[in-house]
Amino acid sequence: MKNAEQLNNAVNLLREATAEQAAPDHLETRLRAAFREQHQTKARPFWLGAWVSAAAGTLAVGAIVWKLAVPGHVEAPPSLRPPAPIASLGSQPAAPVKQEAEVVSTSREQKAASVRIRRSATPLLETRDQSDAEPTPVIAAARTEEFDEIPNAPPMAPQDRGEVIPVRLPKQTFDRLGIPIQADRFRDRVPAELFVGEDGIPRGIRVIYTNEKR
Amino acid sequence: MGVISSICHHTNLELFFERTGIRSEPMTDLSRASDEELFRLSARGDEAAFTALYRRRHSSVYRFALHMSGRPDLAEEVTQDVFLALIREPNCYDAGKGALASFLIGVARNCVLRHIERDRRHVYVEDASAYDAEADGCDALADLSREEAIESVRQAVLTLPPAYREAVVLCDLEEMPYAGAAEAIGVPVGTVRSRLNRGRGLLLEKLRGLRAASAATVRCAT
Repeated sequence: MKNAEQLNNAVNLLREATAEQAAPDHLETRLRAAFREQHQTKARPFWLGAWVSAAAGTLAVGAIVWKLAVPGHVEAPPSLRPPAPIASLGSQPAAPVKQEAEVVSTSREQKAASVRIRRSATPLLETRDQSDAEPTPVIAAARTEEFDEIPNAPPMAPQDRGEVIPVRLPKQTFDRLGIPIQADRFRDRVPAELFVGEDGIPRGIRVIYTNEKR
Repeated sequence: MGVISSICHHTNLELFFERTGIRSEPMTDLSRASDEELFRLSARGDEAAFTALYRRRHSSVYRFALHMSGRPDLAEEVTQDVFLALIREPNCYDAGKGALASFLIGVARNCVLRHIERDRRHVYVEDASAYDAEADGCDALADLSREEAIESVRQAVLTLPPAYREAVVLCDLEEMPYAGAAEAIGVPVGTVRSRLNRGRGLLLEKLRGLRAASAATVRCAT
């Protein structure tokens, strides 16, 4: 009996001392990366539709400006009209710049507007050939439909892909990021999704609202 | 560095969570799913299910490997190998043959035993008469500080022959049921019981032997 008691005490001591031991956190990160690689999960190219819309909008604006600049000209269908000559806008550089400067807000809707304005303004201000234009941040305008942009995140090239990762974040995280949420719908943690580029850097975040209070 | 400005310097998602002090979590619905359900979802490419399964089971795999080898680096490597096997060869697990938890321990066991065989450093002594008779009957851990006692037990476990060591680790340290341990090791329940019984006896003798050796060292020093 005494032997059993001594042994139980010894084993209990070691068991209690090691009960909380676990593999280091970086192992989880590594395994999740291996999992993604194995299953090759890719985010749906949600930016594609917005990219097409932005390109169409640019062509439409260019066509309108071209028509105004050359009245009476036989109009080609919008899709065949070239973008407006840059020189004709040289006298009006202030408007796009002013639009960018005006929109300084952290609200979701106004951020979207500022980003859209930035994306449509950029081709008109460029003096080089369209094909030489630097890739504009796809994530910026494209994702305003879906995700809130994480401030100061580096831009992604249009051909880059990313992944959507479900997370649960403290409410104050959204405060820190300047993203408004319906805080009264959540108790403590907010279910959300992060859009993460292939480089592992998160670019966007969106809250998952359901009917149930979490 | 503020949270927002720190984000632009992040090179990966892990740093993002470290800096913001948050931890990504799988959606709570998975917390109620069984291991087998999580495994099925994971095999179909559900990363959240895999993450939930990993978080639920990785610590027991890690601790088993640590108790068996005494090496944190090896325990980490074994844990990684176990879950990589789950990712890359999901067909290797058959739910009809046993619980996933036992399967994971079984894979970990094979990995650890391979390393132990390669790294044979201990001579396993089964003969109890090898120990000082003066130690008989005394409390093996008396007069030791808590840390010294823990270390003594840990060393004693590591010196057990592997067959007895794994029975002690699974049943006593990890509190696995006999049936689960039998599934993991691949032997009948009766074999697990007898190995555990023998392993406990050896463990007690080793603890007393360690204490006697320690006392002899103190006597020589004084």
